[in-house]
Amino acid sequence: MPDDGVLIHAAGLIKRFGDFVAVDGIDFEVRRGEAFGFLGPNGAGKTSTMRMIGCTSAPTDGLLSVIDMDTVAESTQIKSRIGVVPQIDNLDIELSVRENLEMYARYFDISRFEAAERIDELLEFVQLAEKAKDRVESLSGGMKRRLVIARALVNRPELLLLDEPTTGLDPQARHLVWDRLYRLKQRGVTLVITTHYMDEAEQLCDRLVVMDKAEIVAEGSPRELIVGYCTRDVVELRLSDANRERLKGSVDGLVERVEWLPDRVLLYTETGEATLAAIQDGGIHTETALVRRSSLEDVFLLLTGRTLVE
Amino acid sequence: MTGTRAPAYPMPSARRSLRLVQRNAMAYRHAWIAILSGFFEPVFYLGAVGFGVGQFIDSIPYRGAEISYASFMAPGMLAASVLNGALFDGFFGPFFKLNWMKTYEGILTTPVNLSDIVVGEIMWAVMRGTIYAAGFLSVMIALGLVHSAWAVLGLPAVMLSGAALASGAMILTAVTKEISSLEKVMTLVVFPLFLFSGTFYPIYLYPDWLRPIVQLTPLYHSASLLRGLTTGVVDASLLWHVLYLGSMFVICIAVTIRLMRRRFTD
Repeated sequence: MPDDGVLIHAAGLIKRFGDFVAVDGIDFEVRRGEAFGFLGPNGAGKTSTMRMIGCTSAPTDGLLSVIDMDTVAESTQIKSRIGVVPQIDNLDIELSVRENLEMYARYFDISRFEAAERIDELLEFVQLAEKAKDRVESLSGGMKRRLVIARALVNRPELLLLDEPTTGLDPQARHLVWDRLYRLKQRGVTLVITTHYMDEAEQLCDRLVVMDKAEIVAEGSPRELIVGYCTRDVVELRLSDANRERLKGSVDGLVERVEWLPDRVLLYTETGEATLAAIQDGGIHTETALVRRSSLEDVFLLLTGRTLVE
Repeated sequence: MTGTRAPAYPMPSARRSLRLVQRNAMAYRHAWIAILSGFFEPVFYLGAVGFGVGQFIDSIPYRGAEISYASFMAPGMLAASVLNGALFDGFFGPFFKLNWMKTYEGILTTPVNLSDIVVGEIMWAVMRGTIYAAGFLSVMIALGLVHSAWAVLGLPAVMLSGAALASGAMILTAVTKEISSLEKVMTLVVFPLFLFSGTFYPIYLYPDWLRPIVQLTPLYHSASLLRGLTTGVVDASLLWHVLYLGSMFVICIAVTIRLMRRRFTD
């Protein structure tokens, strides 16, 4: 039996579609009350994992339990206690905003009286009270997203699964969604989020795993990952070809790691300002120079590579 | 932990299936004109062909009895309207929900499962079809086209026909991915069924080789069963129609659930 406080337990979890391996034997645990993230490029296996947790896709092999229940044998009981925000909005476009929530409450066997009360509350919570009677098609992308989140909360879930909750939203809409998710977390709802936005992961997640090519390649808090996989600072330089060659000759030993990109050079170092000063004192002219703290994005690119995934 | 385990699927429950009926009823509150049209279609056919064309036909011999053309044709239209309703609620509606609106994906994250959805859609089709049929039967009674007390079994017969035809239509839903297929099904399957299944004239007009083929089609069984009940020409052969429709329902619903599960594990 998993420890107390463990809400999701996965061991050797595998999902195959024919010959294609979407998830290749991953292990992880999500604890009650935390916000847990799956980070990774497209096709890394995040959505497949989420669908298995949400009991809409059965694992090919391995162990997966949610709230101490098996996701295959006890899917109905699990589904009644979790909320799902899918990647693509699948609202019922034949129903109004309020009817979408009413109908969802019916799917969860919530009485009409109880549902009416919860729906009023939820429409306020996601700031859609004035839109209650509108058709779903008339809503903006951000409003649809908020409605999907409200829909996922109708059954007062202990666990909320969010698959790329803010993809495609403008900055204002994203911040509103983040704010609401943060409030839910404060109320004790466990959040599991997939994203490929680093700022989203840093904002929301207590702990996360980085997935690449169907496997987990790193695990920890955003801070731990940055400290564990990256230097404190990154110096970004733009150089002429001649200065680039001169830097190549002198940079060894100066920094921990160098990345030669077509348009820039990235220097990974514990002391960004000092490194930059040393380079400039050495007579190398920099067209532009930026010293910044390393971020989760640096870790992400280090672990999953810069090659475009399509 | 090696090997592939067989996924366990929850069985359908009446309570959860009824949620689909509620969902469809809620959606139709916004489209009540579409509801009315389902009632008028067979009435228009009955008026145009049954009474219009029927003026030129004295009577028609049917299983040893002589009946008016309108009396012959009206139960055929009743069966055809059941077929239409079954297609509308078992194929077109579910097709759009499955492929375009992704309604089922949204429902499947709740305790309502795929077999509940299939059963619920069929329940809805049967309920709606039965309401139309009740209206049409009333029209038949008012016009003097019902000749027997056996007609009280007309509604259960309509429900059985609706369940069988809607389950068959759901198979089409489960295997169809392209919108263009809807049109092909209409012209190549539905329209021939509507015209040639003994709906407008008795099938004894067909040559010997063709008759058994027509007798394999579901609309023939549905029309014959209803015609037996409304005209009062009742014999043991009606039980064969009941058996055919009952078996079709059971087989088609099982096949649909299986095929739909395959759609959702792709």
